[in-house]
Amino acid sequence: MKTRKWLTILTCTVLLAGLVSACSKDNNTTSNEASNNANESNAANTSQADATNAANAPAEETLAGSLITKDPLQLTIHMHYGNRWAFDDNWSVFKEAAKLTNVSLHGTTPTTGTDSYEMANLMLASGELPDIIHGFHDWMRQQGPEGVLIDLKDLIDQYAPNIKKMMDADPGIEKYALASDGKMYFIPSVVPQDNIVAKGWMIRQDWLDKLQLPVPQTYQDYYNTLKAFKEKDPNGNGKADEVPYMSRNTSGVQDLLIFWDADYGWKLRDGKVAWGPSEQQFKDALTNIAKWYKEGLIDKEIFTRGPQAREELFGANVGGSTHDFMQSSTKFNETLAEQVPGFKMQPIAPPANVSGQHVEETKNSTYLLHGWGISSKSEHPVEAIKYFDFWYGKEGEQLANYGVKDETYTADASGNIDLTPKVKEGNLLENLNLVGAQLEYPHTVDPTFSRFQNTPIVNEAFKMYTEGNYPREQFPVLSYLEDEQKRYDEILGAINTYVNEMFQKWVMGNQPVDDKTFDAFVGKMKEMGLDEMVQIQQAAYDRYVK
Amino acid sequence: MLKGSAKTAPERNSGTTRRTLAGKVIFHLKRDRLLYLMLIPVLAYYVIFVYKPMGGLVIAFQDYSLFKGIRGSEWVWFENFERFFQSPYFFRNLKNTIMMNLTQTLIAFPAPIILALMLNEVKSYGYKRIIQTLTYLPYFVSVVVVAGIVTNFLAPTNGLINIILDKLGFEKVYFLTLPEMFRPVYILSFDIWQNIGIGAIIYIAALAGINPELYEAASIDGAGRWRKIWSISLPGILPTVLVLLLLNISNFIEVGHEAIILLYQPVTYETADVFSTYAYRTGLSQGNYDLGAAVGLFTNTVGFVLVVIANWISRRFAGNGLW
Repeated sequence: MKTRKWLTILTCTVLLAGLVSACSKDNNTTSNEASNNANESNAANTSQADATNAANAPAEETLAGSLITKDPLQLTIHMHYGNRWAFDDNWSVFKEAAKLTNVSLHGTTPTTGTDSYEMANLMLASGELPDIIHGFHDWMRQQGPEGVLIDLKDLIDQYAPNIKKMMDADPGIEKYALASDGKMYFIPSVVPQDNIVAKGWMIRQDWLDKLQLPVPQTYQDYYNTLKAFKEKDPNGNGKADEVPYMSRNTSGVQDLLIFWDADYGWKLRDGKVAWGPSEQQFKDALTNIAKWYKEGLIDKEIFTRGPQAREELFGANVGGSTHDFMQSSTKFNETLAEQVPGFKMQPIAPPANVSGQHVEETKNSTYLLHGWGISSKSEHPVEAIKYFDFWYGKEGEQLANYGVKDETYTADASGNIDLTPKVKEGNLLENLNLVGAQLEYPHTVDPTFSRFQNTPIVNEAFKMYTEGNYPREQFPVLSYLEDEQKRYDEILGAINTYVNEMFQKWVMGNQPVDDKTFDAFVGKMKEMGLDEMVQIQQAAYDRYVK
Repeated sequence: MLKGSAKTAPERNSGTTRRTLAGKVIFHLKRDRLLYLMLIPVLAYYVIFVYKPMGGLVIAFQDYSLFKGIRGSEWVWFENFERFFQSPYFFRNLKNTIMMNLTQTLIAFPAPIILALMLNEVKSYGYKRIIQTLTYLPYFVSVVVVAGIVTNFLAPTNGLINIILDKLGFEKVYFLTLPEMFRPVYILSFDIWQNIGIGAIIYIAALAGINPELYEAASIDGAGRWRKIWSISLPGILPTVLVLLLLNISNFIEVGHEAIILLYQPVTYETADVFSTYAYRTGLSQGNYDLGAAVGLFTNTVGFVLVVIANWISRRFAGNGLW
């Protein structure tokens, strides 16, 4: 009897605990990585957007300088991006801006959050929208038509001369910002063209010298060089432990596809939208990459090595070449100077692909990835747009790029700007971030800022990549109609899973690359709706071009 | 209410004479008011954190938009479920989930029972405590860290396991990319290494509750160690085992996604991809909460049906069940 009673209690406890865990699991699931695609469906909700424009046109007074209002006004802002940067009321840049404009901002996002996507969704779910919403471009384009944001076009025309000037100078801006309903819900920023270089190819120069090899010019050269790294023991420890090609990204193998003119996702082929993995080029690339992998030219552990791959493999003096961001990768030349004498990661031009072209796959977006917009609940859209415009003026530009005068930078009589020694010490960008400068909110980005940032080796590499025009045009971000979006997400999700799975199997040699397996692969993708997906993508692309 | 405790005492006698249901309830509430007071936080906890959120499940039937909320979102009824069932991976995910659970039930479920029985036989008190503590320490290590340890141990070039394999003259194995190795690796590292200790505690407690006289009597009758385990220890903890097994069955088409996501690779999808990881990849990481809720509702419903069936079987054949 007694055991029975205890058993019941035990049962109940365990059962309820199970329920709790089940439910908390549901809650956890809302937190997930800041995905680039907030694929909320686009329900049409447009009425709110227009209404706000006509109202709120107060009698214009002439205010001194950059003042936006006569009396101090506080606007609220949601800003949390990169899983890291949240609006901080203490940023002196924004305090300074408040002095100049009379508009101060108050962040509504907890600065302790570490998941931007979750933060944005929490804000939406709470139903209390701040005046200004800062967000990832894709997310903004999707939330706009849902009724979260208001259309900015008319406001810009009326109240934002600086922004208008910028948009007139570059028609691409509007195209970039437009949502599928043809409205503009956020303000983007132009990134200077000489900052377009994102990733680059790098190789151990000291190993090349030791083996008396030239810098590889073509992908065949690159193959031979990697082969030499593997076989001729450039690190001189008597073991063939070199890892010729390595990457800290699990997608590192995909970076090699470009040598055979193949792609892992969407691309333009003769002006038409094409799905890379279904092309013959993909098969050719696979054949070769599988061979490279088998011969040990590609890190055997590339799929599980993880983000510390450079520290690990460079530090152990076994990593030979990589495709990554050049600033951070060449930094190892200094940090490893003692540990690995002579270590030199040298940026090289992308080895020529099968058609003899030097192509770099990545390119920095011409526009900032994050922008800000005005929420549909805001009572101060006019002040907000004027405030946005402030950041495109001279004062705003200096604040946003260099921080506060005499605190983080000094300017001499002729206006030459230099950062203070305190800022230059240690991580320059982080120091500026601390006061609210050099962050991804829309402002005029000073193209000359990089002079403080890059080492000579990187500057040279950037020059080489820019002059050679290596970074290729990126496939544009497209927006879809409501019905399309659902179907597209569904098919793409299924196909992506399949492509990832098969790609790894081929590369690792779990199955041979031949006509039979590849045809079956394409056939299966067709079964999953490949043709329909291409059709949707083509239609979206046509809309974009038009 | 608190103050009245002394005063209500005389009324008790008169109260017992007319026993309506309401009167009975009030009588009990009054008498044990302190106990009931202590129950309030627990009840509140379940109402607020368990039952109220269940209402959110309706988004499984909606085209859910965070901004519009549950009230504003459009009802699409079974569209999310259709999408889920028609996914090209539905059957593979179903198979993987069931296989994973079968393997867990066959291998990971008995493991803590065996550990508890073994510990029960240890005579040295100190040694027993040390082993018990050591086996349940990993439980407090975060899943992310465990996954990191596993990845390092199994690394093909200089992971511990592969170094040992190499020294013994075997080929090195890239475990994490072999579909057939995924389940063993997962179960050994998470279900067994990480959870065996915490799982054993409940059995150790049950074993402690067995009357020692039974063992003494068995010894006098000449029973050996194995005989005692078989005839006293095991029957003694059988009710506990049954309860936990039944609860295990309720999770039969559910596998937690956190650990799997940390360990799997596209190349091991064919054995590693389960409902929850599918829901995570295609639903939640892309903001399709409605689809995620539909998958969750489906697995929970099946789990509920399974546990009812299992309970019925258990009551019928073992005379003992959850309710």
